[in-house]
Amino acid sequence: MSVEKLVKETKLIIWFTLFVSLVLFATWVVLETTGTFFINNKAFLALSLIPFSAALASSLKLMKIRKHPQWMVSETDERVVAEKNEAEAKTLKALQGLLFLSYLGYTFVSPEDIFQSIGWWITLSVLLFSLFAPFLFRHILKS
Amino acid sequence: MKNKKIKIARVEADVSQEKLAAMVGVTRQTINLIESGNYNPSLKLCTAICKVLNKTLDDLFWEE
Repeated sequence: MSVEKLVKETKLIIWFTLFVSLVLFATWVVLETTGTFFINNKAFLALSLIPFSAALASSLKLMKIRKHPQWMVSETDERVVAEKNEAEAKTLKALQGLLFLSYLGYTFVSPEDIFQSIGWWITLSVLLFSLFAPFLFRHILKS
Repeated sequence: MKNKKIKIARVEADVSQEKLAAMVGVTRQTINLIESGNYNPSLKLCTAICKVLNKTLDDLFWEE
């Protein structure tokens, strides 16, 4: 990965996470001021902190890159990048296994929930997504 | 298998591992791993190393 690409990607992450954080925060403000009760409104405030923290971490990374450009090398080194990709692929495999076990466990423990509860559908959808998303992304990257 | 050709070429060019790493845009550890034969570099990195050390791919990476 080139230096420019990494900086561009980090900037994109910052803007996207800030936008998500702002949307969640604005939702909380609107719901609080209008007195609308949509689940627990505080959840929106709490959720807005997650993307905000991600944006903060990314901006710190960007600052570090600008201050110490030599640090960039460890981020763009093909060996390090390959190692990171391999670690991520193994993490995905482990998560797929966990999702499969969750789905299997849920189906056997609560057979009455099959095709009925939202939890069962979510578990099945996430499992299928984790299985087919790699093919989807490979196709997108190819084109 | 160790790649002694790179090490010899690097020493001949009077370039340290750290300097070579900075010139080709990788970490010193990567150069060390290539020289010790524990990492298989991409063609892109091989050509970058060759250019810096003023050698051909055959000179540094061809095994008889």
